[in-house]
Amino acid sequence: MSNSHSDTVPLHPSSQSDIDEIENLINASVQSGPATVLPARPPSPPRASIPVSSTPFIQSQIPPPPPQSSSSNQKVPTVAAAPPPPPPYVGNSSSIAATGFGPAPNTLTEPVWDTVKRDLSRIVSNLKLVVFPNPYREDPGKALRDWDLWGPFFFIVFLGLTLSWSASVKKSEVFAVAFALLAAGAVILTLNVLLLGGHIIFFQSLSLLGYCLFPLDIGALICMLKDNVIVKIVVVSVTLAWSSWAAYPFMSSAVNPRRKALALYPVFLMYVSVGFLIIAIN
Amino acid sequence: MALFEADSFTRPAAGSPRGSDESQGGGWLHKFTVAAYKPYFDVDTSDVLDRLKESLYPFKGTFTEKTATNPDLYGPFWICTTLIFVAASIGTFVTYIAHKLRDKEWNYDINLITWSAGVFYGYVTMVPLVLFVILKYFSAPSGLVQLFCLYGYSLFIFIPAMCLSVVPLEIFRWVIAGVAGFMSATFVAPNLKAHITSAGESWFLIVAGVFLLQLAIAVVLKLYLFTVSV
Repeated sequence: MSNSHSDTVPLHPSSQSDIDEIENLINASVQSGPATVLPARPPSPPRASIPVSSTPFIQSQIPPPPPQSSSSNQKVPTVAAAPPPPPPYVGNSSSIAATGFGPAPNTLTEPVWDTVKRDLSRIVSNLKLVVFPNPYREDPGKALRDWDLWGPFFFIVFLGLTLSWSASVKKSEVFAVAFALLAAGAVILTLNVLLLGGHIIFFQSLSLLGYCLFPLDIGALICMLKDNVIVKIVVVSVTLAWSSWAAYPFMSSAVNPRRKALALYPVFLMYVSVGFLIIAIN
Repeated sequence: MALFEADSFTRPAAGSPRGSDESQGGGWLHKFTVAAYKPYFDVDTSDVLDRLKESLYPFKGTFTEKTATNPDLYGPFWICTTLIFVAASIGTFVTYIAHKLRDKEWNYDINLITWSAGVFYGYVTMVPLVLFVILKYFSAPSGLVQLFCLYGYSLFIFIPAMCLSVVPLEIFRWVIAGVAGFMSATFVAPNLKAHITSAGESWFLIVAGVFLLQLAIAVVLKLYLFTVSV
């Protein structure tokens, strides 16, 4: 998953070697003292060292070239003042910046446990942002900046497995239907919002809909352990309401307010049908 | 956020001017982008609710006028999907009650979902397609999307009908199925008639065929979902 995470980092790992070459050339051409050459900065605040060389989108530790030092002093504040989107990502995952901005092999050669731990912590933090009350809920753009697809995958598979275990006959068909319903449902819901003229990012929306399944996962687990119909109905209703509440801010802010109900109704329909499946499987 | 959206799947939607420029060269590929279908989802909540209310009035025939310029695919698709869910859940519930009343073993039949999905999606896709071809043959063409729209909304009446069919009285269920089928058929027929009176003598055959088909689907639903053999 570190590959997909590098998608959020604008710097392609292989261009780091090009940057190093350019850096060496610049250093080799500098005859004057290092007074106008800024020292190499530590990785953590890369914003402060945005170079004014030809490629403004590269955030690395290249010191500004000395012949342009006078213009660079004017340029650097404006370049640093414009808030490019990448810094928040870098800020969120500074540990990844330390490894991602370095030579690429750092994330490839790190121990597997580190990768797994990083992905797990991201899943947990995304879960906390989406499903539990937190101050960022009203701004969906902030809520799931660091989206990933591992979390939704685990939740969908877990729900399918739980339903399959609960079923007494046709277990594999139940899993197949549940998995297909959830996966196709998430894709169709996202397409629905896009077609209605909404503004969302496809995979971010898939990620959010997957994370909102977490309450239904808990509900399915409880229903598997306790086979009473009344208990099942109560548990499923509560977790259904929780899931809908979690998905509501994101979906409703993605479309034109006149079409809000058109975008929200299918989400509700999908969760209700999954809830019904949980109650009915015995 | 702008950086994120640049490499996201919203690009096909945002890039519709590009898509239309390439439509001469990549014409058939354009059909696979989101932007190609956006015009068919250009409805507000109030529009959809209006159209749903229209579909409940038989014998009116004004639906096609209202949707001639702005047919939508949102209604048909989500009405079908809701129908599938309602059919599966009500059918399951009915068999559950019947088995419990007789103290018999009951197991969830997952095939209900797949079967009803096949029936509803198939009906709303195939029948308008066939009708489109037939109407073209009789040189009284109607837009394909308008036909999808008409058939999709005509299925709306079956949602309340199925909810009412929970009542375990056989004669009541037949009455409900009959009334719903009749209302649905009398919604489709006048709306279609407006289009095809120019088709010459055979318009009556077409309208009668459509009418009977709608009744047939109501009967099929009743038989498969609500006939419980314990």
